[in-house]
Amino acid sequence: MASRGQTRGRGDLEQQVYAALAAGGGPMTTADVRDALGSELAYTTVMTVLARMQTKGLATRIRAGRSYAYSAVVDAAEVTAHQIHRLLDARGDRAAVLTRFARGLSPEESQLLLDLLGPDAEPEQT
Amino acid sequence: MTSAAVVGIVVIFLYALAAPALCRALAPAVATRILVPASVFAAASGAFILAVLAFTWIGQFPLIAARGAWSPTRLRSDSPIPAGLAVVSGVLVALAAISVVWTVTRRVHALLEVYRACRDLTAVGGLIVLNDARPDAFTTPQPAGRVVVTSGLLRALGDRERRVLLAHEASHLAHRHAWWNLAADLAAALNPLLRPTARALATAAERWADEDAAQTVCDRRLVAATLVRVAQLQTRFPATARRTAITVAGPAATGGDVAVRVRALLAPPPRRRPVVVAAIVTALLIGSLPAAAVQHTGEALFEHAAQPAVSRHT
Repeated sequence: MASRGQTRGRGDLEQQVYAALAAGGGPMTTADVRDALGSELAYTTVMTVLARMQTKGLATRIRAGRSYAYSAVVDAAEVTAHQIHRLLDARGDRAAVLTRFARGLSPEESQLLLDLLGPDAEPEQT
Repeated sequence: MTSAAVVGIVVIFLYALAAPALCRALAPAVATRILVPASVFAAASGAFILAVLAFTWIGQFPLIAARGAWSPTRLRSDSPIPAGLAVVSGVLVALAAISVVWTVTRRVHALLEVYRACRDLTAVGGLIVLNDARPDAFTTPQPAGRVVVTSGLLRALGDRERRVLLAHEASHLAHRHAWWNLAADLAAALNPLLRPTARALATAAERWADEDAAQTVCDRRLVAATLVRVAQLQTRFPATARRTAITVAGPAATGGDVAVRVRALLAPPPRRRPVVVAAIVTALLIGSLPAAAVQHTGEALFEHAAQPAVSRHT
């Protein structure tokens, strides 16, 4: 069971690094990214993934001291964002095609669930 | 034939009544793998039984009988099905067929629209980050499956929560949940009695992905907390508040039910219950017998009506 998290393909690793960069919102050094992934990944592994993403144009980098700090390249395509909003706002079939992570909760309902989760349910912050 | 048809219809009614509860009682992956095929079969056999009943009446029209090479008068005297019942069956089958065609058309249209919207976006290992403040995340169906997450949501989540989110969405892709949901929805389009089952199965797909995420991060409570947090973020975001109000009031067509999923995650992980599963599968197989009987007796009826004229007087 412990191996589940480790036996991930290259695509998965790249995905996690990309998500971490996008979540960071600003330039991140290799060490930052490695910390953000919260796993026992080797520094060189993260460095290789970041370098590869930079050559593929998925990340940009700037000099930060003796190494680099990376930022994710996120599509700014507003037309597509608009299209996807339309999909999300749609009811019925268009929405049914997508599997959504979560939909909103009423305030009462979420309070009830927070009570269930207990006192240490406060969200973690980075 | 009448009794087989009646038993068949009763079995389908019982299935439609029991399936949502069964779906919630079983482990989500097991529930999906058993109940989606069972729902499709129940819907199809229901339509089949009605079609056979209808055909005992349609087959009496001389034009149709001539093509099928049986005697209309003989069929009329043999058929145990009252004409009124046969006509009602025919109407129901026609309505079901229209409903399925309508649903398939709209769904294919929606699939193409989603595919086009995501086609040209940069995907990293299947992940698309959408530059958007609104917190949202979803998966588009395979084979062009993509995980779409807004930058707004990514920034609002902590590292571990982000892992939960990605693991959940990866499970949707790996197990092709969109297609299981589609199959359940088509069964419900064919037979409206199966709508509650289709809704329960949509929640099961979300539960399945939740369980996979819990295994990946080795923490059920963390998955539950992440769910509540994302749902709260969505409710708080002004542009989504109105939409949420509508969605909460309406039937849960997508996304499953957050409260149900959180409660399930706070309970111990679902146990594998091979005996219960075997019992359910056996019951479902036995339940499929009346449909087979209707097919058999329906064929016999037409074969009997097709006997040559000479032997009719013997």
